[in-house]
Amino acid sequence: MPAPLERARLLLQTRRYEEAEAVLHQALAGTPGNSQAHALLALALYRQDQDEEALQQVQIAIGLAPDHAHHHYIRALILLDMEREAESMAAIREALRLDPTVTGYYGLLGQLYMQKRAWQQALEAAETGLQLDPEDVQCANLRAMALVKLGRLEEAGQTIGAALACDPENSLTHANQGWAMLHRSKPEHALVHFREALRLNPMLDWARQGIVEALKAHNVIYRLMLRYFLWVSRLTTSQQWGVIAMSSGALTALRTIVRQVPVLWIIALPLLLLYRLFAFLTWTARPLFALVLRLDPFGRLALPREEIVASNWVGACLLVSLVSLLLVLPLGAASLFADWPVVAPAFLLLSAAAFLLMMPVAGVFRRPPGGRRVILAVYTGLLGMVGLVAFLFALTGAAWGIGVGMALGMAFFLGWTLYSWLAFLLAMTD
Amino acid sequence: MEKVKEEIRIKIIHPIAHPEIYQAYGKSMGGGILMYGPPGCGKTHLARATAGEVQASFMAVGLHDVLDMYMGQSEHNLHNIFELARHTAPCVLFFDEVDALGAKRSDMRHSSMRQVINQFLSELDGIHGVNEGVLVLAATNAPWHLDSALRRPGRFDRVIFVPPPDQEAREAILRILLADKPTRHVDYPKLARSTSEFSGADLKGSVDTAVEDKLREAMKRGIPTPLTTQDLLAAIKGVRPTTQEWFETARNYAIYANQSGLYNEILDYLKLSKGPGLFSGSPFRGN
Ligand SMILES: Nc1ncnc2c1ncn2[C@@H]1O[C@H](COP(=O)(O)OP(=O)(O)OP(=O)(O)O)[C@@H](O)[C@H]1O
Ligand SMILES: [Mg+2]
Repeated sequence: MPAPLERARLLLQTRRYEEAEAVLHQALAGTPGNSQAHALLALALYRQDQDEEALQQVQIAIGLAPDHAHHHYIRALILLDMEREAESMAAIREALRLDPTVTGYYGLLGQLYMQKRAWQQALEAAETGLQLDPEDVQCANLRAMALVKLGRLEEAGQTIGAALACDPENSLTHANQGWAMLHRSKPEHALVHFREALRLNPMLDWARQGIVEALKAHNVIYRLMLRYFLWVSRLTTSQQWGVIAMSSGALTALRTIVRQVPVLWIIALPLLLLYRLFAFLTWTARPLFALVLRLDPFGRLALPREEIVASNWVGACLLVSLVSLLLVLPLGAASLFADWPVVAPAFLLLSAAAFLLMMPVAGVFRRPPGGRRVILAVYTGLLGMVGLVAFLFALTGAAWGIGVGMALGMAFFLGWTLYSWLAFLLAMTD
Repeated sequence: MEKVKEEIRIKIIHPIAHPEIYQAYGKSMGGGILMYGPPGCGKTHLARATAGEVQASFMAVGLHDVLDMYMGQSEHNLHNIFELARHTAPCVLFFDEVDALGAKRSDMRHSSMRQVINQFLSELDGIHGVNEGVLVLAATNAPWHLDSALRRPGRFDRVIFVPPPDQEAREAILRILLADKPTRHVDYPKLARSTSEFSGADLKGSVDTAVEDKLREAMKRGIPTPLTTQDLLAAIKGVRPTTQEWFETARNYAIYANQSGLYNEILDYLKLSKGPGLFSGSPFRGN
């Protein structure tokens, strides 16, 4: 390797991406058309999150040396970072066609399959990689996570155990062990591994997410919800559709039966209420329990900023709801027995609206930042305004005011029901 | 900053100026100081200032020297540097961006790099010669990438945090930066207040921008006018302090990887509590 390229490679290794970029630009100015230099430059840019420019550089490298497998691998990495999974998949396939002996390529291939929720193919990719190098950490981890997703939790544990025996100082392996423990509903064990993962590499997001979940899972209710979340995360896309279809089918069936045999309401009502509560919690559990976690001195530090913001909003809704609910009784009594204006209905309305509003508010933060989140946020804001105006009308205490308030309350409720469809639609068209 | 300077005075400047006092207490000259902190906050600047103040020879080893070691006759190079320092003792050896030279050996895939790092460790120990009179100063903004072996006693046993300048220091830096420029009624305290979290380099960048804008204006109008507080505030507004990103990373290391207490100063700086349960040792090793 020529000296400037060697220098650039060392700079990349010592994480001096800007300097590497400068050296490579200089080298390319001196001797243009060196595919290695373009590929290294692509890597330097990719490390600085300049994906567009990185992609350009790697395209040049591929144009100069189309049968160099590693260039295609770098291209796949960049495309994956740009969330262009299909193209990334094509690129890594090309790399593997040119050189099927590189373990790392199978690791990336498997990672792409994991993103497509194709657990079986991911497992196969990992195992092919492991045949080439039985000690490859990336492929061992991939195999373990694919096994977790396939529900083969025991085998996953064994794989990770073996990987840890090989390299006990690997943060990714510890993080994966943590997640495997969460999937097995052992949050205490999970916590130990997440802590270790973060001790080894505090910047590992995968472990930071995990430690937050493990800490929240101290709470029994959240533990149950987490079980459900993780179960859903193991389903393939078509299985997820199946669950949605079956649950809505079961609901319709229940309603039809009850209409025929009204006595059964006694059983159906608690069931339906429980279902409603559960559905509500699938939206709000994360921020609600983030709120709980903030009482814990360590939990407070572990929570990412985003979750803190979400829990602030949801917590504000909850507070308004509880305070106004507490006001309903004394205010009602005051207007019955003393000469107070009739404001209790207004506060009852406010309490209900604020409570329901937690769901759309939590839903906003479930989406990654971007245009769709803004749509949901605006919709939620409008919904909140409708609720507030309804409250203000009802606060007049006059019959007409309460009437208008109730009507607006109905509009709020309708809008609230439509929200989940809107969110669903936005998620589908991703 | 004063704290860092004091540390350097005690560990480096005084022993060289008054060797007899230190000898009287049976304390030998040697060992090292590692400075770490966000970029542009004066680590390199401080080392250079030390070079001017100290009554000894001063040798600086930078990133590109280290890359040369990795590429060429690496081991000899490093050995020669230490030998030269021993011959010219008392001598201050300064390793800038030392994380390139003392990276975690487990992170280094190439054996040539690992060899150089091992060499660095043994030179610090003085295995290949006595290090009496050789004082080692090093700086990095990624202390977390350093091999923990570097912090053993006798190597870099003093690790100090170089924080971003506080309000007073920012005012002083701004005064220095603007000393030779045409200004009128500059409200330094106000500027210092509106540049919290700015590094020295960020301040320098802001002043440069303000000057450039002023020059452009002067070219257009044909009349040069002095810099005002407003001009500087406008330039400051366009700068996002570069220390923020560094502290986001540092915060994570301080929360999760502070088992040895290495990042206590960062916890203090960020006003995070050192509560129980945060730093319980690794369950997998005996620490
Ligand atoms: N406390 C300070 N007093 C005076 N000047 C300062 C101070 N801090 C920084 N500067 C100025 O800011 C610029 C950058 O400082 P320096 O190169 O020493 O930073 P550094 O900490 O070594 O950064 P890096 O970690 O990026 O190497 C220099 O021009 C220096 O003069
Ligand atoms: Mg420096």
